[in-house]
Amino acid sequence: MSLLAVEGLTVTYPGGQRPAVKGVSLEIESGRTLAVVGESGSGKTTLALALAGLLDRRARRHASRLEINGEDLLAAGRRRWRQLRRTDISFIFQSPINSWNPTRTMIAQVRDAMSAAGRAGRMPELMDLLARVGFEDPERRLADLPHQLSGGMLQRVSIAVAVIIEPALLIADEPTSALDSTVQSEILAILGELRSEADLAMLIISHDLSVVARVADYVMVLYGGKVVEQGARAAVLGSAVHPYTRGLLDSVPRLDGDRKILLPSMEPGHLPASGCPFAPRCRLVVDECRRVEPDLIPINDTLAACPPAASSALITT
Amino acid sequence: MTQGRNPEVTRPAPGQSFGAGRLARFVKGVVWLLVVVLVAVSITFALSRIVPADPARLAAGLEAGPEQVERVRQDMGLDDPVMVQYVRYITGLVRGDFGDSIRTRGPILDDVVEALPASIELIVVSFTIFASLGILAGAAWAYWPRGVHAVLLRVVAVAGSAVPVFWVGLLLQIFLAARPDWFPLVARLDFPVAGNLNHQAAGIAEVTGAGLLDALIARSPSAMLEAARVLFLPVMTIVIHNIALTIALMRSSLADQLDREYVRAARARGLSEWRVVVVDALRNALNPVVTMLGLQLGWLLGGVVIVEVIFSWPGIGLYAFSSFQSFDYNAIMAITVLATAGFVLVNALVGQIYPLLDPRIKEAR
Ligand SMILES: Nc1ncnc2c1ncn2[C@@H]1O[C@H](COP(=O)(O)OP(=O)(O)O)[C@@H](O)[C@H]1O
Ligand code: SF4
Ligand SMILES: [Mg+2]
Repeated sequence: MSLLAVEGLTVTYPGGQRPAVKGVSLEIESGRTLAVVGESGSGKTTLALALAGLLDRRARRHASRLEINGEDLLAAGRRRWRQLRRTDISFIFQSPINSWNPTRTMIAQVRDAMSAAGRAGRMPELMDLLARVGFEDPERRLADLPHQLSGGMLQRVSIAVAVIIEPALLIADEPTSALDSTVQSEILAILGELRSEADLAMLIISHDLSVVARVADYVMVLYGGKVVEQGARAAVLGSAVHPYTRGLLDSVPRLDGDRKILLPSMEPGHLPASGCPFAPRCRLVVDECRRVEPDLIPINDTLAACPPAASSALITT
Repeated sequence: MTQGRNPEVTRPAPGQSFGAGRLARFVKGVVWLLVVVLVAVSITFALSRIVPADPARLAAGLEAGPEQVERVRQDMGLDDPVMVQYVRYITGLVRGDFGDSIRTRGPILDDVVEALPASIELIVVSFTIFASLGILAGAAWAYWPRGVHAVLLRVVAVAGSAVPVFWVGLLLQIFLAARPDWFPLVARLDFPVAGNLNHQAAGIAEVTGAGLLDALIARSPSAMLEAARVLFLPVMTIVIHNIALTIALMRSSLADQLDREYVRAARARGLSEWRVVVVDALRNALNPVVTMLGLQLGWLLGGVVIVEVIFSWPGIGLYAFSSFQSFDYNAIMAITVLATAGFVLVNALVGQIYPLLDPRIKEAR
């Protein structure tokens, strides 16, 4: 059974022209990792926050199904969500420096988190875990204020605090985007290792397909708040059919240095009112695309929201 | 975008910067205070010699003849060169001698000591009320931005700061004039008497001169009630005028903090709303509010004059007003010195609060 099951999730912010997340459905089993990929503004963070009950009070959320561990959370109140975040759901944020109160020491904030989770007595374990993820001399360095630690160090604390509660679901929203590439690889390696030890479901978000490809079992591609393609990692990396996914894949630098750019760049936020959100940038666009909003359909080995791709896929294979 | 990578800051060994650094800061503060006060004294002194009024003439009285005026001038040392007068004045100040009042003819220090408790009581009570209520109301408004209270607070925030303080005082007097038995419209008619409360009438001993405090010391509930009744209108006038800024700033400051990512991150770690909002966000939000409260407290030192005059509150403000009216230049200078010292002192105290709210400040110095 899936640990996390979502159907038809739509989130609208007040004043937003269109939903930030529109009709997203997904499932993750324990022990599996789903990667959500999309460019900035595609709704990744909004999706992640909705799954942890952390959306702004102003945001409107609709869904036909939202279950964690089989528990229906469509009507869950703030209390229930907080309880879940203490025991079942952990969240790692994009910016390590903004994840901590700048005016309080790390140890004070870590203690707050541990006692909120009812694990105040397990600080020694946390210290061990910190040392394991490469946070040296935790007893001393945690006495520092956040700005006295590097981004990599702060993110290690975030990860340790997230994992120590043994969550069933770990959500990581671009956990390495704010870090430089060496640290990025280290953090990804730590996440991968911890993931393989614990039997948890993980949702990892990135704007960079190549980053998540390393840790994911499944990949979901968001564009304009909609899922445009999803499937097993190998299928998406190997035989994606949606023009946007193809563009993402082809813009990944190749070893031979040949970097094909198939995505015409565009001002973000200029999404069409109707039809396929990708139409203004699409090289396969046909009239039909602007009239009908495409649904996900099985094409080759993935699900893709692009009927024209289905016919061209038939031709090329 | 910040890269989220910060240079590793080496921390000073514990205890190292503590004793010496603190002492140095304290000495620096004291020297600074003295310099500011000296400058203020000098400017006031210079001004008092420029104004086209003759203190000797005023002191001698209207019917005094020219010889009499000259004698008074000599007595007062006003015929000495200005520099001599200046040095004499400064050396007097150092000994705590502010000179004699032309109006009351006694040592100014005695007048000041007599009037100060009433002013301090008025300022402390008003400040405590508008600071604490303002912070609470502003915080509630930021956390619950919608509702009846939000509409009400918006009215208070706009109206309170838009209306001049004397207007608030006069309005309160007019509104409550129909019920003079509720609140006395002027504090006392038998000025000058130390204290705002008629201690004899209330049947308590005069210890500090501040009515509320004396009533508290005497453990007399009826006197406390009477003291509060006397305080009510002037305090309300100051509170209504000042609370608006506190509410508005607290609201925007906390709303800003609540939108920060660290608040969401704290919630993500399962922290209770109390922890997130009060321990994290509210503490950070207080920083600009403390700055402003410090300034407001400084302004109050001057602003209290108007309120004391409206309500005949026998404090230093009313004393200053009367001194101005009779060109009692010694008294005016004494009050200037005191007000300046008070302002600098308040600022120094506020400076001590910042590091408590934001430990990054301590380190930056
Ligand atoms: N708190 C918010 N209020 C209003 N609009 C928001 C808010 N957060 C995000 N949005 C909008 O929702 C869309 C998706 O944003 P986001 O979920 O942050 O995307 P991503 O994480 O993929 O960059 C964007 O158009 C963004 O402007
Ligand atoms: S549906 Fe049409 S516009 Fe959208 S991606 Fe497919 S071909 Fe392009
Ligand atoms: Mg994001």
